[in-house]
Amino acid sequence: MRPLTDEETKIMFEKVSKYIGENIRILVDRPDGTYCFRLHNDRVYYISEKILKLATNISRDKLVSVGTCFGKFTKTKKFRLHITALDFLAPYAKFKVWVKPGAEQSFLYGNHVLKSGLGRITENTMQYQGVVVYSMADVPLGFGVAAKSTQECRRVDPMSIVVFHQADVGEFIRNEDTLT
Amino acid sequence: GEQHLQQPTAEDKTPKLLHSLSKVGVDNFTMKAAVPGTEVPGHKDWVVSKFGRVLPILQLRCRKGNRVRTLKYDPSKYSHNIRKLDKTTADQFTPVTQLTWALPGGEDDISKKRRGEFPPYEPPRPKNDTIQLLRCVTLSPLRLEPIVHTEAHQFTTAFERPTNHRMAQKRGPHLTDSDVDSDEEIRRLVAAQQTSPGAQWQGLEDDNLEVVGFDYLVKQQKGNSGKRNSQTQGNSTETQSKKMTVLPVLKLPFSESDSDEDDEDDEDVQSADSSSDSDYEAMFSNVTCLEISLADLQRLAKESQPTSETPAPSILGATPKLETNLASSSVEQPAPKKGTLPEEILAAIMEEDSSEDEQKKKKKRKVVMSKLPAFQGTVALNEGSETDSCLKRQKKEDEGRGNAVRKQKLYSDTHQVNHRATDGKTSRCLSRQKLTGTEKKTPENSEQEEEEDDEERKKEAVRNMAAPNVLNMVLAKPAVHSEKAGPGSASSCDEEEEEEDKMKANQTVFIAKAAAKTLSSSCTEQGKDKQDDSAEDVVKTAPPPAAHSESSSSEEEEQAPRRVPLGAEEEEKRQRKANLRRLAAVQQRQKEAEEHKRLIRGALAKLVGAELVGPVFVKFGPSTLMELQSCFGVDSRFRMDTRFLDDDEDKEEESGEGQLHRYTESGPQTLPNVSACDIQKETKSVCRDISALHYDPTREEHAAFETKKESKAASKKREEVQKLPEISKEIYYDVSGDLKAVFGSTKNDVAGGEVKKSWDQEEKDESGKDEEPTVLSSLLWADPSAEKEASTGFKFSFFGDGTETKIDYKVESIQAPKVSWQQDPRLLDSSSEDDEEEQEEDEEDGSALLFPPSEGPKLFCRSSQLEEQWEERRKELKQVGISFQRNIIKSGLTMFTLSGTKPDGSLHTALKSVVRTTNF
Repeated sequence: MRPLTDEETKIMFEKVSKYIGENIRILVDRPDGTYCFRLHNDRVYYISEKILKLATNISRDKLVSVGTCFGKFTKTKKFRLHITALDFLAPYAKFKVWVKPGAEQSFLYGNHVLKSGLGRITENTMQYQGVVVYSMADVPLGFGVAAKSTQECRRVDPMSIVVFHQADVGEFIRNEDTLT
Repeated sequence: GEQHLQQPTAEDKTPKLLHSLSKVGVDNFTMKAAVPGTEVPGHKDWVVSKFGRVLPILQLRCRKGNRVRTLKYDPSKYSHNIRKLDKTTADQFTPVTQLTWALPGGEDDISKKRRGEFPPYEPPRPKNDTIQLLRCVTLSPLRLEPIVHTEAHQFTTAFERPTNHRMAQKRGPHLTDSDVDSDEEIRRLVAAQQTSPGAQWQGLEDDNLEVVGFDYLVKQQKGNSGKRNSQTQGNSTETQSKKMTVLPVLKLPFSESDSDEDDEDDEDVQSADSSSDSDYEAMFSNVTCLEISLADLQRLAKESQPTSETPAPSILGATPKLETNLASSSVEQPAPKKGTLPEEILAAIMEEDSSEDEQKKKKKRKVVMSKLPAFQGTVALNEGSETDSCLKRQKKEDEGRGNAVRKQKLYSDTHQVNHRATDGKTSRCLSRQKLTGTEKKTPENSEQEEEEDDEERKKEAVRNMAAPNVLNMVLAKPAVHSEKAGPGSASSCDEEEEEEDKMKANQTVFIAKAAAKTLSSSCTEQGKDKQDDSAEDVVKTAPPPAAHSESSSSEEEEQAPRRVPLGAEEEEKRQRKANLRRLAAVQQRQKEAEEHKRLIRGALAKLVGAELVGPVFVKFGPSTLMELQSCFGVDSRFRMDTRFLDDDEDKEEESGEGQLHRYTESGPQTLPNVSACDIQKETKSVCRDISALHYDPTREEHAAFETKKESKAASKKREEVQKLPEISKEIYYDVSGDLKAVFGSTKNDVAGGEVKKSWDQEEKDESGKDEEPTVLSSLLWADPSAEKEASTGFKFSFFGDGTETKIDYKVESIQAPKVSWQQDPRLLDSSSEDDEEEQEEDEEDGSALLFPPSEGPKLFCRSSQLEEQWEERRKELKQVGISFQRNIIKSGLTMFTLSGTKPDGSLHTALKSVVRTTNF
């Protein structure tokens, strides 16, 4: 476990800020304690200082996970957001997409969101903007990337993709073994 | 095998056969009523097969190898094989030409393709054709041709879509496994999608799709359309943005969930409750705080006094129209004046309420205002706080605060509340207010609608409708409404309140508990005073509602049914009283709301440590105190204050935290896109990571750690430096010149060697000799420079302090040795000592001879070249030694006689000459 390098921090923050914008500082600058990011096994963990102190007692090779995994760095040094970060990012998300009840399951199986399944979308969502996907009952379901801007979404064919799937809560079951 | 069908009926024989067969009774090769297998009489090899058919027995010639066999095929024995054929023929006779390829619906694409007839290739048409063309139709009916065209192609497009859909669906999981999130990948995906036929759907805009604003709250009412949201949210952007930031962070102590799960929890609650619940929540989520201070209310009450003193209330007396149309007057009143009369305000509230109801009715929503569930947070708090002993104190404090802090315009606030509560129908409402006279419906109508709408209201109305006067009801309702709105709005703005409080707390220095108590007490006094004032005022105007007891509302309810139709004046009076009572009730509600807030605040202060310690941080280093407090959580026994702060702590940690600082400071640099993000704040509360504390030699700050190590090393070095010269002081070898020369000279000068040493040096020499082997050995292991010296010729300096008397080992001829062993060395004078010295020298030479040949030279130097020389020298020395000893013995005898005399130079020379003569 170690602090992120500048490069890693940059990559990760860029990714996270796609979803929550400047609210990212709220993650770090919290009134209820200090939280920080640590890298362990190529994964970035969001840890409170208290837990961090405790975790220092555990040797690196024995440590499986600490805090909340936000995502991992791929071999190509890209940061990939994990679904475990959803709880932290959803409240701060700027751009949201709501999927209709019929499309929920499809999304939770890892599929993209089609126009036909799109129930609601935040205005002025740009293309490739990171969005948090909600059900119509306002349950956060996962992350996505807007394939179309809001204006385009109004016009596109019902079968065209409007949100690219990034992560969904179905992964808690599907990727149970790899999620930490 | 090869089979030959032996047809017995040759062409010429056929008529014969037929004829003969017909004779037997075979008609058209069928013989009815004959058992299969029976032979046809008169015809060999003809049998009756199944269904009475007459068939020949076939004789098949079969060749196997060289042999040719004849197989008999009796058709009667295989009669079962042809049963089916018989059936078909029996049931329906179809000509052979129609047996195949004539399937029904042969014009299908599929059947055509089965036949192998493929249509000419046409490039796939984009899906949007149909819609586009439909549009064209609506726009210009002349263009009919394309429509037909598209209809023809709908078939194909219908097939295309599902496949495309499937593609899209399949693509998802596959790509998510890889790095989809990289922009390039996504762009590629989009490109792929756009090239797909269904991409350019330029169809009609979907009405299903909602587009919501940034500040769309997740908990918001679901039925909201985007437009109305945007309208309302334009007004309430501030509050919502505040909420957005605050909500997740804020930890309400009574909810056990994490801050992050707040949404979910709320969601659960929402889903669990009825739709009215969600409506309620949605209604108050947008609402700004209705902050009516007691002072405002008092002012309003006072202003209303003069009018109320007159027999006719202002509402009735204000406009002459009222006489004719009471209902409209009540409505019209607030608009032109925008006054501060409570009745007006209440009426306005009422009016808006009715309009809201109308709209709600249009939407066919059922929002039962009176059945709104209590704000859960405050309820929970209330329950929790009832155990609290300082409930009353807080209450009073609240009142005081409420008076002191909140002074906003009542009128505008009420309006805002209502506008937002009605879910963004502001524009309508406003327009209504402006155009009261013309556009408004009569309150009677609205009233009726309301009655239809919610039954609760109806009951209320019935109660208040004791008099035919509509005004009564109009006035009664606002009270109810405001009563309901009071806590609701308060609860909705609780979070805001808390935030404000926090802000205040942060800005102002934290006052200790005692101070807070004093403050509260003072506040209480103030509050009491004001309360009393208000109470007095109310008493002046109307005695019954003046009581601030909690049962006022209940009283009101009790009193309401008792009303009986009275005269107009009495009725007015009653109205006024009722108004005042309601005002009191509103105040009461307000107080309760304040109390709720206070309770929340108190609970938060109790349970959230940060809240408590917050103000102190500003003054005394935030992070440290927070850390300290975080160790103990919210335990009241361990409350950290400035006394626990250690000034040194920070300084100590600074060095260790440097790395972390680097990490946190790099935040702003690494956040190019995040504009407003100020990660510099991070540095304030830096996380101290012990694991990150390690010695970095490249960093200057860490030089502090190095000093001790260096000093040790330096001292060691110094010691070594100091030691080395000591060694050299004791023993000093200066080997100069060639060994050959040195030893060569020895032979020559052995006899007449002169002693140059002083007496005291001699003595030391003796002791030095003992040390010599060790010194030599050390010299051998020591630095090569010493070796060099040894090779150049060596000088011994024994105990030469500073002066370093160097003794060149010129081997000189030795005097005839005295018999030193007979004399006490102490008694010897220096001259005799010289002789002794010489003897010792000789002995040394002898001892050198005693060394093993290989070791001897090593003692002086290592170089292998010397060994040969040494060998030569050794031989020579041996001889010299032997002869020398011999001479000594000889001369010893002679010298013995001369003992006691001083050896002088003549003797030396004599000895030398002796040696020379004897040896060489």
